[in-house]
Amino acid sequence: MISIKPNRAGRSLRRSATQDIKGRTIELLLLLCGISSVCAIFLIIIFIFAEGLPFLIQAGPNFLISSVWQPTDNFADGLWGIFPIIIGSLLVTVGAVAIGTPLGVACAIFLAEIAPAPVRRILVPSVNALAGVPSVVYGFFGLLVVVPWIRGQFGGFGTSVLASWLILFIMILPTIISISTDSIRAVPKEFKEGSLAIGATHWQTIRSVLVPAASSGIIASVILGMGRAIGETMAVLMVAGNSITIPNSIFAPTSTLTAQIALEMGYATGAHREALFAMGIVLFAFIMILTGLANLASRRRIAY
Amino acid sequence: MEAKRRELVPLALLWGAGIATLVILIVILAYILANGLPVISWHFLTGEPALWGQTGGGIYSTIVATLAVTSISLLVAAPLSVGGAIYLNEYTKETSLRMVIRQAAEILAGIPSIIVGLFGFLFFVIYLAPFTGGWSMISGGLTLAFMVLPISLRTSEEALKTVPAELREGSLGLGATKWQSITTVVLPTALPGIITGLILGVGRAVGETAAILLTAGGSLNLIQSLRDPGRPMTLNIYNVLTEYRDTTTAYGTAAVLVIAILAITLITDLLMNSYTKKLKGL
Amino acid sequence: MSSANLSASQKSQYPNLKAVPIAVDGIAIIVNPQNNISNLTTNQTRDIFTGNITNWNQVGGSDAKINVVNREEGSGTRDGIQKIVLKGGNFSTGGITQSSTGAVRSYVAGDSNAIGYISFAEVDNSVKALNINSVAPTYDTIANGTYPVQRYFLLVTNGDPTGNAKAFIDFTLSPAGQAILKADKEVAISDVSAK
Repeated sequence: MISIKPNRAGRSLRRSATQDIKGRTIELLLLLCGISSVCAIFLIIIFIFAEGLPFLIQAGPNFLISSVWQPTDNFADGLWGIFPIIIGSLLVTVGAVAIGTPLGVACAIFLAEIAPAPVRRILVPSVNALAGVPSVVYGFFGLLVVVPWIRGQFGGFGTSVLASWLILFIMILPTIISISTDSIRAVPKEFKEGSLAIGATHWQTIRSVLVPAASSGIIASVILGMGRAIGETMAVLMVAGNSITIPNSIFAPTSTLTAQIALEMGYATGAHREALFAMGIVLFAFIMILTGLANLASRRRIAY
Repeated sequence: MEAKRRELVPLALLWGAGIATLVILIVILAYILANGLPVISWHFLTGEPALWGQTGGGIYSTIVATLAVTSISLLVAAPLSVGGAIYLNEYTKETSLRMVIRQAAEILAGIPSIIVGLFGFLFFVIYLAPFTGGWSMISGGLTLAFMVLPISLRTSEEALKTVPAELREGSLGLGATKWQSITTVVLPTALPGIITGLILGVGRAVGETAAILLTAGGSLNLIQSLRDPGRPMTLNIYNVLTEYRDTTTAYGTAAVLVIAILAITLITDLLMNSYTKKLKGL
Repeated sequence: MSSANLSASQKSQYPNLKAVPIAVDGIAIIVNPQNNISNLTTNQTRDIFTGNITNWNQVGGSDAKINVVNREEGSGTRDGIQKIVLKGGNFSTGGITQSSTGAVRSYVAGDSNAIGYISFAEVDNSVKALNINSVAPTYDTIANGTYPVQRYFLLVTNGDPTGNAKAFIDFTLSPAGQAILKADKEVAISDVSAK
């Protein structure tokens, strides 16, 4: 009796062991798929930093605060100041966000609270389509419609800060709209019902209950829109003019980190190429700061 | 009454914002399509490109290049994103790991395409040149996979999340193993959502330019192998516009892209709608 | 293929680089066809690109701001202008930058106050190529050196060329190859007066 029992138990154990091994293998493979995103980020960071960081250290803070950009393929002969390019990136971003935020948030409130179902059925895919249009198509539209219009209307090159704003704000609308809409929808129903029950009108409820309750999500959407704007390359490359100087008016050309990298990578060798990777690190730092801020903002949501 | 009338203004503004967003989309699409549709012909889609420096010609080689880089990116990103989503949703209850992976996907999705392009240039074009052929469809496609991955991962995870727990429990209760219940019950139920995620990824890959600019090579010749350099449609728009202001080819190519994006938007929209309806019916 | 001479650091990093000149290319200074200016001196050209001259009326034109269109850092054409016209001086930062010859040309074609520089071979009737020191850029003036703004086109190999690379260079330098370059308005090496 005693000799049979372990035998049986052993057989069933063995069967479940093979199943177990199969199950474990699958689980391990799936885990590897899961952490592929983490690996991807590390790969990107390692390679960008390996190429750009030595340059960044060599150039020091002057890289960020001096204004003359005369790259050459060896470090000693060049002048490496990207201050005007950083200013250009920030200027272009802030303007696009300033235009895009009121429109985007208003559209989100409209979608979440006011739009009748048939209108929503059209508007939601439209916002998705706006997000799907390739940035080079926006740049194309900007180059052939917006830039000549600005040149005709206000003189100058046409390729300008203003042209970048007018194209970029459209490109960040979908980000602001979809995240803001979600966060307004996520406000608990009781908030709205309670407000209406005590006699507030729909607009009063929107203004004093829903939007404040969703504010952290709305703020996060704007910050993420900012990230989208500062990271956008092709459209800006085509309409900004790529002039490395701090613009003295919104009709003057400017340059951004992204556009400058795309513009100069083609011929860059040696120290020049390393400098462009260093610019990539600076851009990366901006994106990480913005992502962190967006996270901080949306974390507050868990409060209720 | 007085209060109601005062509210007309803000409500009208909100309507205005919704309509303005729609109008912006329509203006851009109408402009591209009105100028681009007349350019599209059988010859335009299947013909050879014009000689260097001349305008006109077909965009066949650029369509093939777009298909090549998009397929490669999907081939890599699809299993990784779906597998990753299954792991996140079905296998781990460990919140810290899930948090890390989700955060990573979010960061990855937010990295500007030019930075992914710089990385792709260094890693695939230079470092892995013996394998990728340098500037090539493989380098471009693998670089794009980094951008497709987080989009598909996020959407697949959302889709898996909406599968009711009773379905899993029922399947496990009938004696199925975990993997059996995932492949026979969970995945089929979540399939429309997963496909939506992959299609969105395709849209991202088809529309990307900056990363392609640094990795795909830009040759207008029809690719003979995936290790050849090529010029996807987006890059072609940029090149023909900036190199010799060939607006005709640019309009035509942009119209093809816009039609593709509209189709992708419509398909995903219909898929998601029927899917949510189906789930509500359960 | 390069339109800029190899720099000292390129040579030190890759000591085996060999550069073979295959043609001479003029760099045309181009303006919009509506611009009534048709000649500039090298000094005027330099001052326009360094930003010392900013209005067309300073060089005899109408009262309008000069819109300078540059090529990007690293471009051989930009390098040529900087060495030959600016004599090593620096470009003003007031201009805009375009990433290709065609982009410069199409911008200048669309802006009556613009000035830019492109390869002589790429000049078409959408823009006007200026005379420099009263010499028009033509095949002959580039070949005999009287048109001052010109540079060599080089084929670059790592070490002495072998195999296909050598065959290609030999073909480019052969009468048939040089005829193709000539047809594209590049000045054949054999036509260049000794410099």
